[in-house]
Amino acid sequence: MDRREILDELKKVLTPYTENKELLAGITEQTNLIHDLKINSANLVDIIIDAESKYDIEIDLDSAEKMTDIKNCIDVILEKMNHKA
Amino acid sequence: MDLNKSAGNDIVALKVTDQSRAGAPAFYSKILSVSERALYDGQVIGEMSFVTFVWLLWSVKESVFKYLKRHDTHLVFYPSKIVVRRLDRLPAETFDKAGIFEWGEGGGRIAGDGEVLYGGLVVYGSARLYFRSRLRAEWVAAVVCETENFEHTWWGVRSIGEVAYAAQSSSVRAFVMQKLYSLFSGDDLRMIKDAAGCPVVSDEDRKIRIPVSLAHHDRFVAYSFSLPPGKKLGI
Repeated sequence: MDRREILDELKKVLTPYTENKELLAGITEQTNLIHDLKINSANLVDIIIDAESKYDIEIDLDSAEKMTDIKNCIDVILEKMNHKA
Repeated sequence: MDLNKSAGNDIVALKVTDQSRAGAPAFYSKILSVSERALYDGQVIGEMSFVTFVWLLWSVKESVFKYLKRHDTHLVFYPSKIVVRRLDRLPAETFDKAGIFEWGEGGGRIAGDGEVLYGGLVVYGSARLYFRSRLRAEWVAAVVCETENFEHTWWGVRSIGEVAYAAQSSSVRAFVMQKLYSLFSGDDLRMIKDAAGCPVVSDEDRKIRIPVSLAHHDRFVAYSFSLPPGKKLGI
């Protein structure tokens, strides 16, 4: 999976937690989940759990703390997927 | 004047939570610390289901997050880093000391009716806060305070007819404004957001600023705020 594919998949993960679907459709690696997408911070836990399930990975707390923008989300997911392989 | 430093509350509508998700290790391991899991096994088991315990602690931690976020705008919610150190089931005679609480449309203080009150201590880094939680079959609500004295903490829960986000948001604002207008009658109160994006009720002419905390989930809305000692108001 490359970064583009993970970004597209992340849109699906984020959909239930994002009010503004237009913003979500246009996300880039620079998009911040809290400030740009206005995702409730409480939902970050849900997103991390959903990502774990979707990619069959485990995301530890140190990694989870980085997952506030799309770039870092992709970095963490790729790192965990590569670690698993 | 800043009537108090901050406010933090939360509510979880228990009947719409995903029970199997909350009971799965993948979920609760992100919410609870190891010591909190031991707290359930050693003390709370038998009083409530594990899933209810998860949501009770979630609501406490979310309340702490809201309380601290006002002064740390970069704070991100990682519930397992906020640790409940003490959780006590409080006797019925302490209900009146658990803040000035209202439930439902009519207001007033309600105890009993299947409601159980919990209290305790919760820490995040060097911050130590105290909490009170009210647990009913349909919801669990929490409020936090810097001291164990909740005498000047006001909080309320109300059921609403609609579950759309806009309806929840407007209902909870109307709920807290109704309460504040009953305490500050004649003032021109407005709800604004502070620099951290947290709600504040203010009257610029009288230099009043009251941090308020708002929460909603499904068909329940909840508020909290504190007034300083000596500000003896209302009921």
